This record gives sequence, C-alpha cells and structure tokens, in this order.
Amino acid sequence: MDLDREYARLQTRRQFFGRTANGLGAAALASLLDERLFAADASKASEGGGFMAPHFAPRAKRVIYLFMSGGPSHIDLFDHKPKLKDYHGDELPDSIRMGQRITGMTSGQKSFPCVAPMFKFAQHGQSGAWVSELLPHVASIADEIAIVKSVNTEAINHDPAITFIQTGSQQPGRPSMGAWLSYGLGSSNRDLPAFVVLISQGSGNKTDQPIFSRLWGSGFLPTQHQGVRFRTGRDPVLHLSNPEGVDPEVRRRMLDGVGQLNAMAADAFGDPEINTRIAQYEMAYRMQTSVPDLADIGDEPRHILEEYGILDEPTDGGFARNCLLARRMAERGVRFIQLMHRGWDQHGNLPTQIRGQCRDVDQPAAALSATSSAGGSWTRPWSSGAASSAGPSTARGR
Amino acid sequence: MYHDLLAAYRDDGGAASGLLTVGESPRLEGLDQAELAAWTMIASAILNLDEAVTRG
Repeated sequence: MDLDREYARLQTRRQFFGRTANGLGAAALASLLDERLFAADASKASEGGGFMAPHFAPRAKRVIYLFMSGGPSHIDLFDHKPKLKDYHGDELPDSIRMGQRITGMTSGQKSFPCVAPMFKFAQHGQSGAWVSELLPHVASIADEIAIVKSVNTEAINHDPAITFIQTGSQQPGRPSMGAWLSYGLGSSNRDLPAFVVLISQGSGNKTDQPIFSRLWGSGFLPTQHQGVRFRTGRDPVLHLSNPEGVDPEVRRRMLDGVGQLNAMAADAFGDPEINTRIAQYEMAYRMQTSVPDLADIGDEPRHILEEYGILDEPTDGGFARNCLLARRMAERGVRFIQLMHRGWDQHGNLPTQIRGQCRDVDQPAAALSATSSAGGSWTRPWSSGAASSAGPSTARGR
Repeated sequence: MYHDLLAAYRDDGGAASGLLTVGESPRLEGLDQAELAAWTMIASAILNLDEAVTRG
C-alpha cells in the first residue's frame, strides 16, 4: 500500500464529508459509500472505488468457514485406507515416509507402526464419496460437498500450518482470508462486521492447540478488516446495552463528540488507525441493536433447533449454536463467518475423543450445509489444522 | 457537548441519578446531580479518544 496516496485519499474524503456536517465520522460515511460500491454485483464494482473489479465475477456471496482446530485424523474421517489392515503393526516403510520431518511430540517414539483403520467406511451418494461411520449426517449430504484431499503444508507443526491455511504464509503477518474479503468486497450489512469469528471448545482434547487472534488478523490491511470475535454463549458481545441514565440520544451525542475529536486527531497525525477507531465506534453503536436481534434464537422454530442438535447436545462447547448463529449472520449479509472448533488434536485416547468431536460437529455442520444449499450461492469450507500424513500420526493415541 | 448533556440531564433528573448509581465507587453527596452526570459522560468521551487508549 502506498501510504502517501492512502493519506491523500483519506484527506480528500474527509474534506468532502466534512462539508456535509451531519456529525458522523468521515470513515463511517466512507464505509457506507463502499457498501454501495462493492456489495452490488461485481460487474459494477469498478465504479469510482479504490479497487478494480475482480477478474471473475464472484458467485459466492458469503463464506462460512468451519475450522476444525487441532487436525482431525483424516484416515478416520474421509481418507479411506483399507490397505493399512495388511500392514497393521508393521513399521512404516521408508518408501512412504521418505525422510519426512516429524514433530517433537512424535520424534521420541521408538517405533512408527502402521495402524489399521478402526472405524467403518462406506460410500455415499452418487459421487460414491467414502465417509466414516463417525460422520453420518455429513455422509447424508455427500453429494452436496466437495472433498479436497490434496492440500498440505510445508510446516509440520500446528501453528505455522494454521497460519499458512489462514493467511497463505506460514510466517505471521499476512492478512487472513476474511480480512481480504472484507477489504476487497466490503460489507453488505452496515450494522454488523464483515468478518466475524466464533470459537468453541469441543469435547475432545481440552488442552488442545492454542488459537491466536492473528489467525483472523488484518496484517498490513487497515485494521477495520480484521475479524471480530464474538463470545460463545447467550451473550456474543458483552456490555452492549447502555447503562442506566444513558439513552440512545445521549449515547449518540457522546459518540459525535468523540468522533469529531478523533477526526481532528486523524487530521493532525494522519494515522489510519484513528480512522479505523472512528469507524469501529460507529459500528459498535449500530451493533447495540443488531447483535441482540442476531443472537436471540427464540424466534427459530423448534424443528430448526432440533435439526442443528441444539436442544439435546450441551457438551459440544457451543458449536451447534454457533452454526445457527452463522446461518443467521449469513442471512444478514455478514461476508465471512469463521467458526473454530477446538479439541481435534488426538495425541491420546483417539477412539473416545474423535467420537466426541464428531458428535459435536456432525449434525450441526450438516444442518448448516443443508439450509445453506437451499439458499444457494454459499461456500462453506471445512478444514483441518495440521499437516498430517498417513505416516507416524496413524499411531497416535490408539 | 457538555452544555448539551447538562441540558439533557437537567430535563431528566431520573436519568442523571440513574447514571450516578452505575459503578461501585462512592460519590460525593451534595454535588449537583445533573452536572456530575454530564461530566461523567465527558470523562467517558475523553477516555474513549484515540489518544487515551493504551494498547497492551
């Protein structure tokens, strides 16, 4: 980004919006303008704005990304390896490992035996996709999903691998996918962030890989494009309501004052972070009404709650509820919704833990996919969080 | 901004006393409630300025 040009652009906008003198921050107005420019169909996106239209008209309007953090064991879920039965207990041949590095967790093992798959697989749908018995609901929508088995990372540890998958680089510092979408396409709902993150802790490994906020960071893009993390539970954003004695009018007056003073500081220092702050305060003001409406699932019919498994599965750490919230956000125009479900790093007790993890996610993920297919134009990848192979990891925890 | 807020809290004494009950710190009795409420909001505004925030 050319900082001088960016500064000049912001200055010009401020002078323009300053004349409208309606008390809103310049950046808040600028984001309204962006919304009109970029939320419409892509063919019109080149009108006047700072960005060129994309080379290909996007068909997906929003993305719901279910990230299975910890690295689900692919050979127990989607990657059917029946031949491993013949090699059960044998040492992993060098012709398979080919000198691949192994992690500190595993390198202390005296041997690296092959292990036969312990769960039943069957083919599903017209595509004949192999899916494990652990994911019956996902199996039932086999023809609705694409299974990509070719993605791997150079990094062998979780964090650099996740960082790569989230940002395209295993070194921290690049913008995350959701930040790019927010930056490139803007928001289609001015009352909610364009990029929201929801995290749940599964029933499996409770001391799983940590998740850092840079995984949804904006890197070198303006910070207003970073993901906004909502809390899991009934209250996704705390302290949203005004305190006693502060009605919306008083709040508006206070924010106008803050906005004007912050705009003066932005003029004096030219720090784009101040413009982000102005925009975020305006967003927070609008979220005071948009978030309670979003989070109140009381208006969902009972059959929907049953479909997502929200009524009878309290051990999933909130994943099912987050799936329903994701659908509600998508309906309201949030561009990129990322769910992260922890607990998949089965170093010990895989048979119990992976069953629990699958029970956490199978039904709500399938319900979300089914409802979103009915709505059309959705993309909802599921991905795992580690660079594993059919090699040494086959032995873990059994 | 102060004068706007002061006028608003003079009009609505209930709102002023409501705001002053928020929080655990004791307050000095005998101060003008509308004034104290208005200054409370000014303090809140100042603490919300970009300059006032310390990044961790």
